[in-house]
Amino acid sequence: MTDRKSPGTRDVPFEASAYLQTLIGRELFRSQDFALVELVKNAYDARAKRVVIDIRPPGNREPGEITVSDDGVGMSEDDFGRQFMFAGYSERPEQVSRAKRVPTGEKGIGRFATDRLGNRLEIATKIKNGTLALTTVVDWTEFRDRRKRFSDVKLRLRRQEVAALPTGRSGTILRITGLREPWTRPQIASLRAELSKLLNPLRPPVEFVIELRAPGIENSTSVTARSPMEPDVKLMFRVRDDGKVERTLRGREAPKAKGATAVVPTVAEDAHRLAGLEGTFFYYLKRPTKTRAGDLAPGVRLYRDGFRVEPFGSEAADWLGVAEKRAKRAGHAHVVPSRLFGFVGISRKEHTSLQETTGREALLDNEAARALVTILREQIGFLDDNIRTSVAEPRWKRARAEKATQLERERLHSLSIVADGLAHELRQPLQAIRTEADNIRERLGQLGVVDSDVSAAQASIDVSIDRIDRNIRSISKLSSGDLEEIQEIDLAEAVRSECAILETRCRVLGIALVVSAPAKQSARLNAPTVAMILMNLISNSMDALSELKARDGRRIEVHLSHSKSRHVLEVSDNGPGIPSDIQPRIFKRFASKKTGGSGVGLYNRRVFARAQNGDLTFQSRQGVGTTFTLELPDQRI
Amino acid sequence: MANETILVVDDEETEREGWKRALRLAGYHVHAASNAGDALTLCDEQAFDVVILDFLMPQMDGVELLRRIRQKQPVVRSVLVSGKIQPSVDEKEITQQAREAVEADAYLHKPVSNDRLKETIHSLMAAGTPQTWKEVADVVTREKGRGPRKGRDLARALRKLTKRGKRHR
Repeated sequence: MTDRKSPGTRDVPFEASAYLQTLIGRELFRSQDFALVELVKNAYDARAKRVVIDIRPPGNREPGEITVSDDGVGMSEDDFGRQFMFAGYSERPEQVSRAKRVPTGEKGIGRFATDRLGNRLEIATKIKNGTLALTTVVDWTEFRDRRKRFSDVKLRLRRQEVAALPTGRSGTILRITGLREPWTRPQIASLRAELSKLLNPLRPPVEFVIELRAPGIENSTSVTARSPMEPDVKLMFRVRDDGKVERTLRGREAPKAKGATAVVPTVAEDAHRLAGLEGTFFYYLKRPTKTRAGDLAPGVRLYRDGFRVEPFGSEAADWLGVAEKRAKRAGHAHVVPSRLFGFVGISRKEHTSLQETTGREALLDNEAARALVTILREQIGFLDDNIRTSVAEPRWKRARAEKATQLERERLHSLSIVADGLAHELRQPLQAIRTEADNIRERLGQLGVVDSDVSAAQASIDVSIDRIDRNIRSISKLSSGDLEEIQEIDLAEAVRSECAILETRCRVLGIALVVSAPAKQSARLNAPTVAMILMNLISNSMDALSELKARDGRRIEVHLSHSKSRHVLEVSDNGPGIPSDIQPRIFKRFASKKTGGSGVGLYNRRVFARAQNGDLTFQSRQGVGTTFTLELPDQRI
Repeated sequence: MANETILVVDDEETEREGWKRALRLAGYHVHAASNAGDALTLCDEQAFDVVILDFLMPQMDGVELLRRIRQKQPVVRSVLVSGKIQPSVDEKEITQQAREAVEADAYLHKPVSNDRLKETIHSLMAAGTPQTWKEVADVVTREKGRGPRKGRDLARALRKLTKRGKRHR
């Protein structure tokens, strides 16, 4: 190309049909709401602090009108000619970088949005210094003629006083008449919702208020962006100047992350170009209610300088492939799209390469846009990793608890087979002894023999039989119990009788087994659990005490108490204590230091106790002894 | 005083002999059988006031045996002695069935002292006056309009007649 005209050549200018405006205004702004949103953005760009949308729906007598007034800088005659009348013009990024407020519009077509709303537009605009406002009327029907050129449509500018724009004030008032829609209440409600979604709830545009006045809306209410309620997991991230991502994960359901901030690299190329990009992901473990979600639909939204960039985060858009990932990887992608709410803020000033297509249906596909998607996907992946543990763990835990209960049940079952046989075998001779002892007594009585030695011998037989019987009873009880059954029992009595079984064994080892328990402690719980764990703990203590060389002073104390609705059972011994290197592993599987012990006992007992919302803990000091504490909640309803 | 005739059925010799001795010392007429077959044969030969059965026996358990004995002797009082404390689920079912089918008059858990055994027998005997076959048959005929069928009919009628509500467990 050259400026010089060569002979035989002719420059032909492009001309636009006036109908082009109709195409832009009607086709580009796909809905009425969207058109009004554009006008609001224009007001923001004009550095308005407040924009008021007043909708008067057409009635039987009144034609109906919409006015959009702002207190922005307004336009001088010069501005008007240069900006308003020049289709497709908007301030360029170079100018933008100097502006105090970053204009949201960049296509220079927002003014045509009014065509989408009504046939006729009256404009009144005034800059701060003047006294008279600039007014004009645009009749959009004039653009319908396809043969007419764009420049054939002319506006008559008028200087006049406008009451709403007094001296010293600046602003622009757009009055739209010949409305295309009836503006029913549902339509107004939808507009209100649309306007509130326009703003970034976490970082709304500064010093900017949108007011909507319409029938059905009490007084005039400012439209605010509703933020979702505090989520279960919250991820905040920011792209730093060096292209790395700084992020913080918070939430009670993200146990791995303790709110610490980490700086991580990203695989996105030229990420530094996105420096300043900020985002927050809200993730709920359960699909939030509408109220919890602040009436927002799930999705990751993009905001430019506080204003929503459509359609990112709308229900149809899976621009980050969250739903797709989940569909493909089913159980391995844990982020459920309907529980994710993202708010990503970009800036027009800083991220010049992130541009929407004119149709506002996507970002222009360029490196910056791809980097944005990559970074956001990485953050979702990170979120995925972290909720994986927090969401899936209860399931593991439950499975583990079930397994432990199952294992205990099996142990108990095999024990019960042995115990049943044993009980039967023992009781038969016991019955014979019992009967014959009574027979001797009877016969001696009949013979009139009274002898203190015989009486004493008989009494001793009685006591022994009782004891054997009690032991058989305990073993049977222990082994035939149902591990899920909750019974009302006297826990103190239960503890005493369990201890009685082991008393003799303790005595043989020179161990004093001391039980301290209240006279009665009624409890509602699963009795076999207590019995089994208690037996386990006492026998562990017995093993520990057997390691001591000295036989003197070996002692096991069993102490029963309760705090609030929890029963606390402590088993202490003055044995050698658990070596400190083994202590952390004591509840792990296969941690036994006993030869012949499988090492699953304590592990299983703890899981089992926890399955019933209780716990099993211990304290041990080498050379002093060990105390195991079993806590079980009372299952009273 | 006590001159009731008692049948002891127990497969375990020491146990059986012990009870035999105990009851004889207490003045009862005692017969003993070591298995179900012998017991049933004895029941054919003579009437018993009380039968004491072990719950678990090799050939036939006490419940089944009692049912058979009842068919022969509906008026007999029964004591079932068990070596178990808490029957497991299956056994609970069996006992439940046993109760419904035969309703032993008393259940005792081993080890049973002689005093407890004698007490039980005594209260069973005191609970109702023994009925003659004729009397029982009359009741059945009156209520059902037909002659008594051996076994269940008679047992039910008898229980109704004697109103032995209290059971010893």
